[in-house]
Amino acid sequence: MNQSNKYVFNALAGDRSEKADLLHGVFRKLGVNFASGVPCGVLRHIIKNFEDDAAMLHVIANRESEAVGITAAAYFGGKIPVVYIQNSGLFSASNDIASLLIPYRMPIFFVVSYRGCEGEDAVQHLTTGRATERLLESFGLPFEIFRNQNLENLTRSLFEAMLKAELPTFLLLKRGWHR
Amino acid sequence: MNRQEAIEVIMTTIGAQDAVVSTTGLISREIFEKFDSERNIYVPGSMGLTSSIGLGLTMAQPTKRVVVIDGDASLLMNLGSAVTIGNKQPTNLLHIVLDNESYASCSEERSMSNTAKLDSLAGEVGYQYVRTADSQDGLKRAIMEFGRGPGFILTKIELGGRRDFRRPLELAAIKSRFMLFFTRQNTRRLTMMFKGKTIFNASFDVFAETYHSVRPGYPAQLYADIKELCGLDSASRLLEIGAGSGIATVELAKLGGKIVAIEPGSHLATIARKQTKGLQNVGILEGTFESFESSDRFDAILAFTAYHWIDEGIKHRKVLDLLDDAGSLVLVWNSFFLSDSAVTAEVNKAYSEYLPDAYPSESSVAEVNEGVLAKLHRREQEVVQNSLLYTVALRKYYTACNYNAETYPKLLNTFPKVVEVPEEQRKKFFARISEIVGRHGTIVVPVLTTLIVCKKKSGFLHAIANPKGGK
Repeated sequence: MNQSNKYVFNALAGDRSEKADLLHGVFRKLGVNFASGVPCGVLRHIIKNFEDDAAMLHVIANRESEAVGITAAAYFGGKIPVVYIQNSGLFSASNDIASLLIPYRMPIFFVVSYRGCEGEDAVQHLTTGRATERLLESFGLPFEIFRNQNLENLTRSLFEAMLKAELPTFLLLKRGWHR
Repeated sequence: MNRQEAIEVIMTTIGAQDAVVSTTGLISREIFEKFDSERNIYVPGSMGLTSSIGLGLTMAQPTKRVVVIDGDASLLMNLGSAVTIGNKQPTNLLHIVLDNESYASCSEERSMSNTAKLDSLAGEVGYQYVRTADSQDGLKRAIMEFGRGPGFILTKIELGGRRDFRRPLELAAIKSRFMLFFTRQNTRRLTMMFKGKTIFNASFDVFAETYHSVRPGYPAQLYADIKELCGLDSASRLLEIGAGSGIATVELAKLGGKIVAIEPGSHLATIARKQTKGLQNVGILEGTFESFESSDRFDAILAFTAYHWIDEGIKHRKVLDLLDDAGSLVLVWNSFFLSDSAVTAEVNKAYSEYLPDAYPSESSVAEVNEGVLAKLHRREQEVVQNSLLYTVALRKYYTACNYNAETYPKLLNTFPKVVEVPEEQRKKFFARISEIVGRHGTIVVPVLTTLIVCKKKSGFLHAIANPKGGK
């Protein structure tokens, strides 16, 4: 492992993502110290980094709503939390976002894997895929889709927008984002 | 028992410092109307998430007790959360379910809790303390006997009662005051610690606030152990030395006895009075232990990270005079260690760089920890080796506390050796510390709580020679 870079976490694992490590480092710099979510293959590197980082309180939840409740509480308790979920789960947790996070004005950062886009091979993702951006727009919530922009700048500016708006905010990651 | 009675028992029995999370519908609305407080968070929407929010709170603030007031239908809506709680084992979580076998906040439609053994289920998924209650007395007892969680109290209630409660609407404001309450952590004593030092008097109250927010408290199990080891009950008379702002006092009050708490700092004594307001069994006295006079004899004399500040010459003699022959002296200390990490190494370097007078050379984690342990050992030995006392219990509790760029400098600012450094120099040091911790995200501070319970040696020998009953 490269000792000079403390944010390299997956160096020893065969399946490593520099982008995921970079994102984790940005989270650390932004003070993130709590994470909860429901696993998704697209987010596996991010989840592994949360799991491997001793400074991070991490709970894998049974369903997305639970992750919303746990991280809302972490925020109440003075932590800076991140939620990771698939966009399918964004729909099942949508009422919890609407009825807990928005009225309580909670700046909670979501990393959402964006299935059901171009090239999707699983039919169960197509409807939610088409509706994902419109759901967030209709809720009036800030979001960005990662399209190989500078990931650090993108995450930082989203984080700033989130703190300013005091609203849940979303970074959408499509399949293959980590390469 | 109906909902109104159950809520009244809960809200008047739980500790004054406990946080409360209440579920959707009439339960939250009734609590909001009758028991609204900064310690409450209501879950008016997102039905079912109450217990998840309780879990998240206990994880974020492991030294604070969190009481979740749930309903049967709400629990069933997010049953997986019980499994998560069983898995994470938050010892500071008490999950109370008001079970009327209905969606009472809608039109009293039947839920399915009538065919489910929710208490057995809680035990099976890993709750450590499971009780059922179907009377006000039973519920009160179940709450008072709760020690180490996660706890689950299935409370059977009848349908009916008022429905015309106001709704909590200003949720953003409720959030702000709750966050303030929740992060204003357990307190420690200030004037005792800094007696004789005038440096803080000018900004004392501000400083006291900071002290509240960053020093960790004591684990819930400690209080349960004190109760058991000293055999305390509602008739017991307790004397607390150096009560500070009353956080331990509030917890001791729950053990049931009558408490006299002495605090020499007038600001802290005022805070302690506020904290214990409404507790019939607590009296706060402003003054020093050295000058305290009483014709009463106490069943327990207790000092929380305070005993070492009392005048050496008189303290044991005075304790012996005030203690009942069968009474107990209870001494508790929190010791702060260093975690072996990259962030700690950088912080250690900063000490010698920025505060060379107080810290002339850089210390390793092992050296510092050995020093902390040696100091603790001296305090323990002073008691253990005293020929007039006999130590009957020595216990340790370990907590890892997380601090960030904002809270860690504040914690350091409560340590006497740092506090004595001139302000200008201290400011630069804290800026550097904040920068280091900010870069790493968090610093973990291991806290070791030590409990010593001892008896008067004469009283102990008398009790040994005159056993009650026999086998």
